[in-house]
Amino acid sequence: MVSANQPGPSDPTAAPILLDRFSYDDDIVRKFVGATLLWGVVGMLVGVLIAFQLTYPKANPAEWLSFGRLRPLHTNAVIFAFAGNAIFAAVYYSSQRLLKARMFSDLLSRVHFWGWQAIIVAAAISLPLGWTQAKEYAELEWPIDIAVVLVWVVFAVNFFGTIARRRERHLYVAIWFYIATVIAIAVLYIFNNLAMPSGWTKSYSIYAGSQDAFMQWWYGHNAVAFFLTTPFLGLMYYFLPKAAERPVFSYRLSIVHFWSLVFVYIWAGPHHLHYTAVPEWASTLGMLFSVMLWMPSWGGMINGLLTLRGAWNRVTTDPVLKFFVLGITFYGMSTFEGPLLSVKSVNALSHYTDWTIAHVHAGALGWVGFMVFGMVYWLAPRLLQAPIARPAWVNLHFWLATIGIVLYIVPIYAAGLTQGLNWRAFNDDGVLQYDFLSTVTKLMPLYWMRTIGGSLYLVSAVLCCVNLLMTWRARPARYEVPVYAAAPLKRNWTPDPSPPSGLPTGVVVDIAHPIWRFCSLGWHRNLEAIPMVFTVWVVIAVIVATLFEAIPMFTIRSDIPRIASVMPLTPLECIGRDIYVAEGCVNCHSQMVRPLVAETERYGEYSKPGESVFDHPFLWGSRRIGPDLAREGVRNPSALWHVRHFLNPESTSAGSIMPPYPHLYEQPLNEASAMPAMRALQGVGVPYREEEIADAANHARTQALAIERQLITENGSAQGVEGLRERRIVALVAYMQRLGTDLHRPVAQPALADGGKHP
Amino acid sequence: MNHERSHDPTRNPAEEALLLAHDADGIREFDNPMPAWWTWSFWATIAYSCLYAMYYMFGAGPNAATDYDADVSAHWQVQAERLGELKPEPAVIARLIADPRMMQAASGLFGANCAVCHAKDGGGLTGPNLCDDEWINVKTVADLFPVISAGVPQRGMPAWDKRFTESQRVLLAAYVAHLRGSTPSAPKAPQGNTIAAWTLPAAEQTAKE
Repeated sequence: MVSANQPGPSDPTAAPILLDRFSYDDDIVRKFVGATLLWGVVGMLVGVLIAFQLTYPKANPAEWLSFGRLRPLHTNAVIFAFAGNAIFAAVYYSSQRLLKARMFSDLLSRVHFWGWQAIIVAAAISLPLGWTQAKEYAELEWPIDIAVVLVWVVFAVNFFGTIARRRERHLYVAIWFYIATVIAIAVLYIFNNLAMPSGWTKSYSIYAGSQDAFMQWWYGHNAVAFFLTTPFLGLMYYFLPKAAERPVFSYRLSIVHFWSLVFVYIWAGPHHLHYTAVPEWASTLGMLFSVMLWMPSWGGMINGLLTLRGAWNRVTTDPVLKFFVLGITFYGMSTFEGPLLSVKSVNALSHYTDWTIAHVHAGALGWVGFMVFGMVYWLAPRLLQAPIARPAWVNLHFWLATIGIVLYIVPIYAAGLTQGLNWRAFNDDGVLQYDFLSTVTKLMPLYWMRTIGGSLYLVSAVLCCVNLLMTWRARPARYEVPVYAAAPLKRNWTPDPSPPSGLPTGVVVDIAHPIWRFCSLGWHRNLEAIPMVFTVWVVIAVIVATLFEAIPMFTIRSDIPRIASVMPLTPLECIGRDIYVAEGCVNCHSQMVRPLVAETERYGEYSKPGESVFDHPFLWGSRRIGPDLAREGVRNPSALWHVRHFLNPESTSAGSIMPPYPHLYEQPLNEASAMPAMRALQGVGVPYREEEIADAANHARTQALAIERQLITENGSAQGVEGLRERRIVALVAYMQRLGTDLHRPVAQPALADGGKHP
Repeated sequence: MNHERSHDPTRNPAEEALLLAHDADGIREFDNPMPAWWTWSFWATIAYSCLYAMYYMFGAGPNAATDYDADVSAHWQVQAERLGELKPEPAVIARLIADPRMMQAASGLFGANCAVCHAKDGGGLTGPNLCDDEWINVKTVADLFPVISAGVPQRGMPAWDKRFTESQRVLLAAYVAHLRGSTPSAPKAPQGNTIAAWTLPAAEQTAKE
């Protein structure tokens, strides 16, 4: 199995001219594969834990092990640690062979590997500590962000350096997808993470409200595109024909779907923001480009599945092909579902529900996971130079994981539809039929099934690890390192002449001939030989699409009408908001009432763009495991209710699955911590005056005292509530009481000047 | 492997002629055309998007805000037809209390908005018990409507006049009046002063079961 389809070391005697002799760095690939499996299991384990927490809220034993803090750890671990290391393994293995060159620098490869693992460890420590930017998949705080960018630059230099030293003139389609990945992720990551630090562990996005939401989902959507799609398509284009031993179905389909994918994907981000307080043109563009993205995405699926023609008989016996076939099928399913979910009327039902969770898990467990495991099983005997220790387990892994996915996604699709339909249900009298809590408690059986499905997938991944560990133990004492020989690229390369137009001369107008030549795609072969120009076109595709949406978003002032009564938060509310961010409340609670009757009936007036102009970062959220909080201050200004609820959510809301926050009742309130926060916010444009910042601690104390008085009044006695003015919980209550109240506050009554007593 | 190739029925000999000359690490590529259904579907999504944009972005198509306004008025119309125009008067409240269908509708409103503090059966949580004879801000049945409308900010009760129409608030006042005297599962200790029984128009009161 090992060398059946590998190019053996070339016979130097057959070479007519001087050949370079070189070997490939497979040690780095082994490292990345090992890290993929290790972090994969960790990420999935955290996933199973948080799934369990949703069924059994008592499984939130400590502040740093609560759902809100672990959920970002799960998403970051599976995306950046599991998928990330797998991408690097695929890139390092296939690029060297496709370019006939060892990686540019062994040192840079190691810096890349160890740097990336250090970032993952830093994420695994900082996220449970509550150090977060509160933007999905961009939670890591600014010092880690800088490390990510530096390591990515190392990767880029190493990758493009290898391209520069290649001995194969033309870049294969897998390399195109890798180029798109390297370029786009750098652009996306840097611009979404721009933030103003207030300390080593805390920063505030430079964008606010609608604009921050736009940037976040430009990033979030394209992280799916350029971290979970393009690199895995590149992976598919290398490992699938290798494993199937069949030619790729269509070269021209590769060209057309690559460029259309790269160009169209970038625009589609705002489909995450339908019916929210972003301008409607952005949301419409997001939807339309998502619809247009359907076929470019399916181009990859077609090229994958049709490459298997002539090898289908082997799919039943070769587990690697099984993983690939199912992975590509899930890709086809997810990339049909994506455009479907981006249609506004569908999104009105699906958004904030578990439907999204089912969708991403079909993509992550099905497409990403199965492509990774297929690759790993194909690589293992080649990298470890030993046959797979337990071939039967590979098959077992496939079936366990497949059943696991089905058990995961089917109940969660059902849960999503239940939520969507129940939230909008009115009875005959035009009154909402279900209170929110009843739509949570009825999901519990489905959540249990999901936990079982996820556990099965985890078990199957552990099985893979054990199998590969046993394979690794059977490795040779010294790995054989084959030496290859290939001619260096000739310096004076001239492009192939463009094939002549196939149209009859004299019959058609002259302009038809260049159009015919363009459509015949003959020119593309030459483009593949000039990586610099190829890369520039990728950059143009990514940047142009971005600027078309971003420039109007940041310049059309009328899109975000100012509301005079909307004021910056008070110092105490500012501290409360930091707690809200640190505890990861945004992972379960949206702050965005959409202009849909069922929502305004349930939550109150729909959210306006002008209401979140001081929101750095925006906290609109993407899910409603709990109810929306955009109007919480209007709906429920009771301090006592919140104090009881945060201590023990079940005491006020029977059946609630929210974790308790007892530590907020013990940790002392540091009123002065509002000052660096306000200073940083001032730096990104929130109009705090100097004297307000100087007086922040004092002001916070006054407002905390007022809330404690309200607590005593509501409680009828001081018992149990006295002294809370000096605990952090009081800040969170202040923030809750403020939410959504600005819209109708009389303008003459500014937030900061009223002694902290509002509404 | 070669014997396998010759037996494979899915392999098309004519296609082998489309094999391109180049290879990449041994991977070959066919020069197959794109499937026609793929090409045409791609064009169809582009055409759909252009038409959609022309109508909804540049044309006379509705947007989220106008759609919402239309939906809200339709919704109010349903409620108005079902509930009627309700005025905060004891006679109206008495009529509502006597109408089980109205109380059913009100329980939905109460459950979704008030139960969070007053409990689903009115027994009280952080808010006071609404089933007993002790009341904090209410002396007569006529006080219920203004308390619901303006709230009691100092005690954490929100004002509902911006969230609900007058008819809805009247309905809620009737529902709260109707709760008094029922037996909640976990009654909160009495708060406030004992007040006299509601005085409602006699005819309707007898209709109350």
